[in-house]
Amino acid sequence: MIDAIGPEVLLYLICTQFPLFFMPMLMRSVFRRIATGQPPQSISTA
Amino acid sequence: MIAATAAWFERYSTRVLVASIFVGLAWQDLAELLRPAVLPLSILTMTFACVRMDWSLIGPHLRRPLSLLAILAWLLVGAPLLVYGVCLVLLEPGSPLFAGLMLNAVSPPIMSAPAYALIVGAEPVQALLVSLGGSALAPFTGPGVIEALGLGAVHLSPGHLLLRLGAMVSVALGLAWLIRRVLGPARVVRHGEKIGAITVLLIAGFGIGLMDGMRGQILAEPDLVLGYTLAAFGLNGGLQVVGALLLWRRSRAQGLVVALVSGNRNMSLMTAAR
Repeated sequence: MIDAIGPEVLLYLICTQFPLFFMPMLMRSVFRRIATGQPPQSISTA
Repeated sequence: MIAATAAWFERYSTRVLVASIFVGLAWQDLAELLRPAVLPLSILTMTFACVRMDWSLIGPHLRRPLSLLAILAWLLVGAPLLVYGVCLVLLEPGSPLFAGLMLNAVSPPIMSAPAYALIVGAEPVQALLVSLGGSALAPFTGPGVIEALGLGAVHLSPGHLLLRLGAMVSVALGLAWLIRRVLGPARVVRHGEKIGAITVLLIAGFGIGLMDGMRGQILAEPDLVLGYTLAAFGLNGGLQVVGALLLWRRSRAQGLVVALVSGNRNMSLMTAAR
């Protein structure tokens, strides 16, 4: 079924780019909290 | 003034990345203009992330190849098998979304993983090594996994892709080495925020370029684009969580890197497939 990458599959592949730009905003505070055990700097100094 | 602007970009880097998508969608002429620059921007993103990272940590990571190989095995074989199992339960095997998710899962991590690591607070050196290893192996493992699962064939040219990867990495790392050499370690540290701001702007330019033609797609098929985007978020987030949990007890710092590279994949490999 993957022998030819059709337009709909290609559209999905393009849509995978959206999370690359949104996920850092959603994940940064979680990552920093886990990495340091402290609240992220953006929160503590806001 | 420059220092304050750089500090602002660093502080709000994640919001700048999100804004780049909306700028690209709203300003299609700019997106069209930046589209041809997507590859150079991607290479420069890697360059500036590598300028900032501590190169002395590369050696210790390379002296523990088993850890690196285990992470690559998860990324290139384990994750696709997991996604295949979930897709079998949730989707029609012949559907385009099934195919798209599988191609997503067998793809290598993004080349700009070190830049993303710096933005979210993960370890950039390990992100770089996993990204390079994954990019070198995925042209072989991706088609292999797809064929082994009986999902068809992905026609890639591994030799050509490896040559292209080699050229990109040589340029990115060579430039990074040169910049570090010219600036010196002390100035790299002193101007860290400025280098970080340049990296964020490069990724933002990359994002704007990627949106070329996307507004038309969204307007033509809004439901399909929304559904596919949600699926892409689900796969990205799901693999990040599983990736982090795999190494949670061993090393949380390493778990964060694995999370980052598990969810964020480079689709240019698969869009090159015919």
